[in-house]
Amino acid sequence: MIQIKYFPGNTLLHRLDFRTKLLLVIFFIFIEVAFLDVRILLIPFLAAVVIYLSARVPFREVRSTWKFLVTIIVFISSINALFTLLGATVREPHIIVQFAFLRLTWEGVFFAVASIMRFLSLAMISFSVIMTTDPALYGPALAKLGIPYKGAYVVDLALRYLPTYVNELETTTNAQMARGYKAKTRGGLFARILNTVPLLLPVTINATLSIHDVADAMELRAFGSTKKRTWYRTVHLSRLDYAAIALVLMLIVLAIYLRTQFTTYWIPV
Amino acid sequence: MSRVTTPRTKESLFSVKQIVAMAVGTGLYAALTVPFNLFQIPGAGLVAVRPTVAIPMFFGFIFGPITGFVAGFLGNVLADAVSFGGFFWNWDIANGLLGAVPGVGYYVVKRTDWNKARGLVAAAVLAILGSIIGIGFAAGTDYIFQIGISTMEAALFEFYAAGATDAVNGAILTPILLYAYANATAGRARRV
Repeated sequence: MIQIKYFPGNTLLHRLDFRTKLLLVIFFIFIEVAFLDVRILLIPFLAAVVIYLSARVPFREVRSTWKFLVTIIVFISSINALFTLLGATVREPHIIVQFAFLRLTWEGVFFAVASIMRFLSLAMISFSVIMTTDPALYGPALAKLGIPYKGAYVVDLALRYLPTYVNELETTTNAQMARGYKAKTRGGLFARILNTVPLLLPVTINATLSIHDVADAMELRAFGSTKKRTWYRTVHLSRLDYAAIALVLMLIVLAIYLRTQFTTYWIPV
Repeated sequence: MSRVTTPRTKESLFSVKQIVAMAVGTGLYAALTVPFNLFQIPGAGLVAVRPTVAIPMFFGFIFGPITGFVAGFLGNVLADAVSFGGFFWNWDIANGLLGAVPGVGYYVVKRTDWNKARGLVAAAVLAILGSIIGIGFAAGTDYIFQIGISTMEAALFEFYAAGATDAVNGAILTPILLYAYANATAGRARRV
């Protein structure tokens, strides 16, 4: 089962404010979108490894998550190396091996390596943030960023509901299997879509019906009656946060400069 | 003697019910999408076959375009963060559009028609329209900004592959969800 949750601790990442960590994620997204050269992508990849390890997330707790993630990223990136013909933009692609319409080129291999490094870097950074941030602080932090409290509350509530619905889906799947349900991996498209109904329908309808009860309970507590709202927990930027923000901003300037120097894929053949 | 009528109030698109609906739609779409991200379309980046696209479409239809957009947008942000640890802004907006377009049904289809042929056909048509607009936006921006694809052919392939599967999934599953919800809430004035 996929396990992405908060692991309490007192590491450097745990002590950083959610807003600082959000800036770090945005920086990594920028890097991963801006660069195609694997030599440059190697730097944020190694930085992401160091940041992830510094979060000290117990590996046995997230082993299955990483197994799932690495499998899917490597498999999909490899498949795309064969099908997404980067070679189509290269006049003479360097073919390693060709079988019928499938051809493996050096361009495809480096495209796949770049994709794998990108996704793994982003995964490590996103997980580092999610696993070191108390979910109760998302709402106050977003509110401090100037997001209206109703918007901050949507994110806050959605993050609380996520594990509930994952469990609900698991329970429903087990209940349906006990009644003879089998997931179809073969057959026509329509049959496979209809095969998902016994799982999607009960979970979705139950969740949708609960909206009215939750809304009633919130209205009874006067949610939404005032334009401003206070939060039970507040967040403040510390000196550590200011130092980290300054560092990330400097790195953004450096990245913009590097972007002008390294503009395309690097194929060492 | 004057006739006694129940006053009709137009519900705010940011009422407490809508706020909760946005959160539930987001959580539901993210939680149910992650297992389906395993079923990928080869050659189309990280595009997956997702029956769950019907969730933001359904939320858009019954709660309005803003709730549909938020459920699709934020749900996809969370699902991709959990599945790939990544963030794909244009696909997040595309998923928002998948939920927002069926939101037209919130205005044009009467609630009493939700479990009738008129409402179900409208849900299916709007789901197809949402898929075309949403995936068209994603494939177009993928090509313009060179995100994972580098040729017009690849962009068109992505549009046909993802657009068609989302349209079929949405056209079949959205009316089913709508029919079930309409029947579950029939006779309960508060629960619509």
